[in-house]
Amino acid sequence: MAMKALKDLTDDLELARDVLDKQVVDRDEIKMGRVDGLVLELRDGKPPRIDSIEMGGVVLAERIHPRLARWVDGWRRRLKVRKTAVYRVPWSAVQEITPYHIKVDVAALETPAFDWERWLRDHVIAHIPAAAKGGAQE
Amino acid sequence: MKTLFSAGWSRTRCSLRAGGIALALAAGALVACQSKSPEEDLIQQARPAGSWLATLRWTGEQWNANSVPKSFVKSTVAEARKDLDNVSDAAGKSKARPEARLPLLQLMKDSKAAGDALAGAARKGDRPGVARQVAQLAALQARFSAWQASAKQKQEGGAQ
Amino acid sequence: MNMKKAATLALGILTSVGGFFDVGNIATSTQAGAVYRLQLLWPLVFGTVLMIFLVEMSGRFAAATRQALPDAIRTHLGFTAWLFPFIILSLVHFLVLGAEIGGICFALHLITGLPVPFWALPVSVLLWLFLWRSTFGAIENSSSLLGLITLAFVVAAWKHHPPVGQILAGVVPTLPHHDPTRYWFMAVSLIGAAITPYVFYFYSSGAVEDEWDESYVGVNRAVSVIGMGFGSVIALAAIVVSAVVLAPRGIQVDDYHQAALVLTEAFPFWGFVLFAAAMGIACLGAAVEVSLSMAYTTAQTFGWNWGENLDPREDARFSLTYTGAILASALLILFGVDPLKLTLLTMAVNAAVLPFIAIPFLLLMNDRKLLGEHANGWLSNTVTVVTLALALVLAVVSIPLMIVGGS
Repeated sequence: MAMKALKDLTDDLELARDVLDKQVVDRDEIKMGRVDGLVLELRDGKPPRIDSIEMGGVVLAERIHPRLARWVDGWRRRLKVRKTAVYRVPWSAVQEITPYHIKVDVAALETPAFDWERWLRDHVIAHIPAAAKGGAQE
Repeated sequence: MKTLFSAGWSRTRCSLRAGGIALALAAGALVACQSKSPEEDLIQQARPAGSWLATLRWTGEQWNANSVPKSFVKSTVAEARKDLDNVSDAAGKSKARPEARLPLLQLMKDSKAAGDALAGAARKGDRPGVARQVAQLAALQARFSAWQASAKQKQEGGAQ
Repeated sequence: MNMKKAATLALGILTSVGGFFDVGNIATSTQAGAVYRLQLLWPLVFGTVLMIFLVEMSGRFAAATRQALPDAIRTHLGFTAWLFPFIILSLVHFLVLGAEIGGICFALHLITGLPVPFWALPVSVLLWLFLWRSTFGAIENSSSLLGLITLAFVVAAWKHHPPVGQILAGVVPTLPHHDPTRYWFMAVSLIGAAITPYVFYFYSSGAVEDEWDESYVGVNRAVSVIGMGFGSVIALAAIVVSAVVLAPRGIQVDDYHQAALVLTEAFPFWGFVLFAAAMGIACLGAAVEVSLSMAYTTAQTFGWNWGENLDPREDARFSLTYTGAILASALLILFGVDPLKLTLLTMAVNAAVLPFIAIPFLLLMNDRKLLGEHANGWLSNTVTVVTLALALVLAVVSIPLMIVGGS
């Protein structure tokens, strides 16, 4: 019994290690970010379980140093583009895990992960002429 | 577990730092061994001047052969002037004996004049004028080599 | 081999000729030839061998895993391990891009007579517009064919009938007769000019854009050996021409104006124009690759949408990364940084940071779970580790000496 629990635990940690830093794509396979962090649910008498994946620069900065995370978050508040520091996708929304990516059942464009992408598209790219490629019209 | 990790880390850092110090010492020793007399220093600082004289001469020859445009002669002379000015500065500040540094100062003055005359002749399309400056630059090259040889001798003579 | 692969092969070889020969080679080769004649051919040969192995590895990785390098490094080694190499790589990208833009501006200066900083903004806008509007295939096609003009160096070297015995002797490392500090520093710069880190990231991302699969492993090997080999021959030819033309006249390359004269003897009248065209095009091709490499690396590190075949509207962050990189690097030239000094600094930095770039890469190449039968064999590992170690020792010893010793 104890052996089995230990095996489940290592399996889960293996999964966590495998998933962390992986490319995240949305349901249309648009690249929307990476697994910057994982939320593990600790359960009494049972191995921990992945609760959700986290995306966001603040999560990344936290992995380097908490002070860097506070600094990054300070800039996020000042710039007011990204509304929420950490974007969490529940594990239940994960559709598939391949060696290349992890696919989640959301629409990237509507998520905080695309706040900057959207803002830059609407406020910068939109003002630059000639943003359509010759080849794209073929 | 955690302390072990940090101990290993600091040991690597220590040995890295020791390696850095050893390297700096070695570099310092090498530089110290290479410490030169003011004359030798000046010869080394004047090196680009010899190369620029050769460049200007050949640029003039190439212009007369229709191989480079006027604008190239002009900008090459301008670039040469920067380095010739640097050599003049070095000669002015150098602690070398006056017999070594004063001729170099004069040589740089003449070289800059020859460069300007070359650019001027090319601008006017004056081929014989350019040819004259090419000859002048060849003479300056010879003077520069003679200066290098004599500065070296003076330094050796001074050392004895 | 089907038509698509044959086309890939031809194009890949042409592209890598352009990818190898750039501003760094023009600067270091003409300098080395002018001062040490044919004595410094060996660092270039040495650098080329290492470059062939590294490029072959990055292409094999992309073909076997369908993943580009920065993408895979973040996935498998993690963000914290990748962060430091990533920062260094971005810095190198910035310097190299500045040097390449400087090279294009200098080529235009040769032809028009207008000052180099004048061209910084027009060149960067043109470069940017090209990336903004073109698809990946169009970029490959145009830069590769135009790049053939750099063969002018090879033809010139041929016309000068260089002493073959001395060329062969120059391939063997020897001790310098004079100025040892300068000699070793030049050797390091030549190696740094041969191994340009941006090529690995550009090449593997390009292979993903071209949708390579495992069947491309053989094509990739041919492309790296022949392409890098050809590129190296051009750089070697530049040393030879400079040794034959500049060295006997006592002309050293302290400024690009002096390098600009290397082809005039072999091609009276046309030599000057050929040099300007070769320099401009080689640097333009490289600038395109560096800008894209910067955008690929950043986008993949953070998981943004990326691809040179997408409209900028679909990958705003990717497109704006190369836009920003081009602008920032152009500022170096606009504010009058000397393009030759910038290039030489960049090449030395290239050689010095090589381990940071290559070690994560080597770790991945040995991951059998990831690559299976395409993982590195003993030959690739031995050659890269040994040459990397030698390059590192050379860089660590000669760069501080150069800084302390001056000149």
